[in-house]
Amino acid sequence: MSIGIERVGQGIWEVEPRPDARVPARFVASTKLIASIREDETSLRQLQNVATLPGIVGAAWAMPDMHMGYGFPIGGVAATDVENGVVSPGGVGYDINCGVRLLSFRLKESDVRPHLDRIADMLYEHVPCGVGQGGKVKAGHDVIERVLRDGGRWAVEEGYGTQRDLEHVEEESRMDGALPEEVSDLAKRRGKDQLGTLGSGNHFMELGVVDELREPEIAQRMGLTEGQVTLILHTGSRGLGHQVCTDFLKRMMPAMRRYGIHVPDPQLCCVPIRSPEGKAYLGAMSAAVNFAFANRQILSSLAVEGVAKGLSTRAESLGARTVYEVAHNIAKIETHVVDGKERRVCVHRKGATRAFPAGHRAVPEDYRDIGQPVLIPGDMERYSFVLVGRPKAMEITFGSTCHGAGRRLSRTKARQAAKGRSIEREMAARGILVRAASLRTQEEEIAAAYKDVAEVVDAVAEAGLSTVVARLRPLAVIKG
Amino acid sequence: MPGLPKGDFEIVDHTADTAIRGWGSTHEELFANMAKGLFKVIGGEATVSLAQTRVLHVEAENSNELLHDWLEILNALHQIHHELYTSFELIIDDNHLKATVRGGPMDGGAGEFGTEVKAVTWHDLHIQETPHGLEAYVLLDI
Repeated sequence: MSIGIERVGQGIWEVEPRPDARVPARFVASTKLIASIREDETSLRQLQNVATLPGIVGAAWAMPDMHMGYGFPIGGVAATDVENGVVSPGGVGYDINCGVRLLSFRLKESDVRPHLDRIADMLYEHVPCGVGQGGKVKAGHDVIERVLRDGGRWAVEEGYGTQRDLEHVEEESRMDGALPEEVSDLAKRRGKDQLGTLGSGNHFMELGVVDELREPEIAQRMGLTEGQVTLILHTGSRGLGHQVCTDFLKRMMPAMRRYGIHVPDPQLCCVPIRSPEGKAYLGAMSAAVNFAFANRQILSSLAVEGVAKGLSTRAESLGARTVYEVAHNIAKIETHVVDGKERRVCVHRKGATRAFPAGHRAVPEDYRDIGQPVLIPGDMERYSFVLVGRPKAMEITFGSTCHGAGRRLSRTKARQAAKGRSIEREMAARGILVRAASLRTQEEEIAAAYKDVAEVVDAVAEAGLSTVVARLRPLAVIKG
Repeated sequence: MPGLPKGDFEIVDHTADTAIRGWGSTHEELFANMAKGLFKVIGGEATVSLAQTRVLHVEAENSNELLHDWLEILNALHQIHHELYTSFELIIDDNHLKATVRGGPMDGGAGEFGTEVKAVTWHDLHIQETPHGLEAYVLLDI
């Protein structure tokens, strides 16, 4: 290990700076996690690189689920000054507005357990997933334009879910400032039949149950009680968003040279926020954010129908409710206090989740006195967590916390670990059903391939960024 | 000393994603082999007919960018048309590429598919001359 690190606070570490660093490079980790983070030299170097971005303020941050990314480490957070700072597509990633929604049902585990096989089948049937699976919504040019402008609101107008869902989504499921005209024709063509599709890789849908309450009062305010059935949805802006990122990296590379900006890694490519290219990127990114919001709104509506079919009942009778929806690949203009002064900054969250505390006006009214819910999915075999934002996150990490478990094994190593085993049967023996578009994905997503998400959420709790509210256990998992 | 290349391409293990390393005696052969690698990742063990022929033109500022854009456009075409491509004939002339690609619809495919590719990244993307010919490396975001 050649990169020096030093503990600078409760659960907070600092990486030795590059000579051209503009701010410190810090990360959040518990003593339990520090050994594995120390070994991952690439992500620490990427964090050092982020600290050189023009106009970056406070510190470059990485969350305890950090691992190697492109330019930014996954788990990276950077705030740049709106007046003299840059925006970097690498700080958002290819899967713009990849995010997580949590739904709760007026159902207990005992209500679904006898019908779990059929529910899993129905969920799998209702939710297009896997390679090359188009969605049921065939979006022509006009529809795509509306989706890019209005996000989840469009989906609700089309009959997917209700207005109440939108109130429990970041940005109320519609990001202002979207510029559909800055999204390329190729990106729109990639997206035209991907609305209401899950994708593959680590994207999933999971029927689960609340199996432990750590903060019962806060959980109750979120409508979560022990034994209650839940559904987690993890996906993003699909090919449309991926193409927006690809297009803008290409467009920004020559522009960056024109602006005389030098970065240590081409994937860290950036331009001034106030430049024409910066404004165009933020407009196109916001449009892709809206595409992802609409995608999750449609999918959650399809999932509720799937559960209803599995129980041979009507969707309206399930008491389905959106607890909250977070984005974990996004850049947003927000107000934060830096060096004692309020400043407008562009907060890049690449594999990091917004975690605003109680009292913040961006938190939905009915949650404002408890703070913003944060949803942290784990691997498909163990558990996921619901957290809530704390004031400390606002003070140090620009209102951000972790986003998931983070991979530990490569896909090949995971398949080797799964060799000769029936993952499906092993999970079934523990009461978890899995439906996957491919056996390969099932093997690549085994629990051993991921870090223990419990250690990740404990680390952000120890650092004071968020409080763990509840733990969810999987019952049926749908994988692409 | 590194070993001799074992074939047209190899899928390289990577913690969160997947990389392709390919070889060729010419840029044309190298680019075709990298495309085969890409569709091995996406298509897995599936086989498709050669029912569809598409002609592409790609232009870039240098050969790295040309390789990146070539693989990107193939991935975009696969997603738009739900097709897998397995045959690639190319002519590369001064960072301009003309290709005839053949493949077929995925719904007619047999066997298990691989995984979606979100993007071809710039991370460590390179083409280099080796004693055995040209070698290229790209990392895919999965």
